[in-house]
Amino acid sequence: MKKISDRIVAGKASPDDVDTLETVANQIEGKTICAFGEACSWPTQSFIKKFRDELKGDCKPELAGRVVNGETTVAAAGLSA
Amino acid sequence: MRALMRVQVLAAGSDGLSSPPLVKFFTNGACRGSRRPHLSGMSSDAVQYLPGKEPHARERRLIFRNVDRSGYDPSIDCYLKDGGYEQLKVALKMEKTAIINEVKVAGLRGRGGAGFPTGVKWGFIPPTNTKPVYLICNADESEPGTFKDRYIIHQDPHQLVEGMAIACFAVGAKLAYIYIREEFPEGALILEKAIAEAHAKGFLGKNIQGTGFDCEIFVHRGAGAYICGEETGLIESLEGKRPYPRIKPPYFPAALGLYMCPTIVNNVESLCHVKHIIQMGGAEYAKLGTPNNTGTRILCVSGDVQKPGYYEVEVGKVTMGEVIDVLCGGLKPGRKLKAIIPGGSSAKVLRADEIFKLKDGRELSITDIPTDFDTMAACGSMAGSGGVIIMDDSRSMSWVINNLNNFYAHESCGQCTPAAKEVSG
Repeated sequence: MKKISDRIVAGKASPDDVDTLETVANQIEGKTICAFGEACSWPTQSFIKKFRDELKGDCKPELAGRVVNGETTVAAAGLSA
Repeated sequence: MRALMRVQVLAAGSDGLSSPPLVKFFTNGACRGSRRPHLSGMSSDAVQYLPGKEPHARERRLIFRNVDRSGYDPSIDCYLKDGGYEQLKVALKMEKTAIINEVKVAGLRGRGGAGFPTGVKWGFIPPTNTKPVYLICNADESEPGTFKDRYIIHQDPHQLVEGMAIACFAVGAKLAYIYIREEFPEGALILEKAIAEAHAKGFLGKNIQGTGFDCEIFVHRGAGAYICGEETGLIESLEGKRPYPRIKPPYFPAALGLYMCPTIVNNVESLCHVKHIIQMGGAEYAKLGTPNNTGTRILCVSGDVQKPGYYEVEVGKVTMGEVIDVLCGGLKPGRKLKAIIPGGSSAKVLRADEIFKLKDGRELSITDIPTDFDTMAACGSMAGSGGVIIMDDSRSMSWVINNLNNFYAHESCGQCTPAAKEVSG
């Protein structure tokens, strides 16, 4: 989650990274021993649910599937390199 | 820690920024006492506050009665002049079950985040228990956006000591710990001094006030981990181990806690409320606030408002809009409300233009939401620890989410793979 949101803030993410971030958050909630899982996934889930367009607006569609800083951004369906 | 500091920058007006007046307060000279004893009435009208620090008319100061009070210092003499430790004397003459019952009748819900009824939690100690019982005060106030316990500890430590002594008596604990976070070094010193003073006056130690009840309180300083605020993680840390939260069940340390003995873990503010419940009586206390959301609670408002700070209000009597416009003097000029995190950084965010449809048919806009536990939960968030973070249209949501994720990635304890790998990865 940190790496993906770091990428979004740096303007080096593809719009599908936002959906991946949400998927990752959903995979944490309810699967931990203590409430930390909920504590860390709830902000991410709610921010993406309510501000998806703004978050995607900070992303760059042309970066889909490209390698940025040694990491591959998430490729949009049908656009993968 | 870097991540934590960055979160506190978002929470403008949080701990760090408010500390200069606090220092000033402690060098404020001797106690001049109060004009009215603590026993009669709870009106804060009789109390003079420091200039510029007066509570708002909509506030109801119970716990924060002595915070920013003119001429008040954290010594026991000042506290005794104000009618301190009278409730402990009253409680020691009561039946233990009667005290627990008063807390249940009062409907006190834990102020640490989950909002679990405190009296019910106390009742979870097995009736057939023969092991020692421990009480732990959770002063590991590490939720970003929350800064209420700090002021209680720094300015009114004896209120906490008295509340803990009453709670110890009620649950049958002879040994209590205050687990204070590493970032409150001065608070730990103040508490240790307060405990020593209470010892000297016979409010702690052996045979308290000739009743045969023994109670010791120790201060334990944490080492800076967010996860130590989780109660089983806290217990592990107190036992000297790595603070990995324990596997549930048992769901409550009241069954198996510190050293595998029944343990009650309560927030600082919750324990302070116990003193006021004894003072007012459970039924009278329950008239404060709204049904099922009783008493007062401290809202720690930070972010993009004119006057961020702490506001103690009756639970559910103030709406989110009133918090922003009335208590905090509105948003900064020319800005529009964008989002609110209503209960510490872990609470789900509320968007400014949302309409919340509740199950009982009510439709609320963000400014109509009362700041109580139940409505906040019905709106899909939580009242949590009371840390209200206001964000206006100058904030980038990408930046906010990144800030929070940096914090959580840093603070994951690493025990569970999903949280450890996916937050930081």
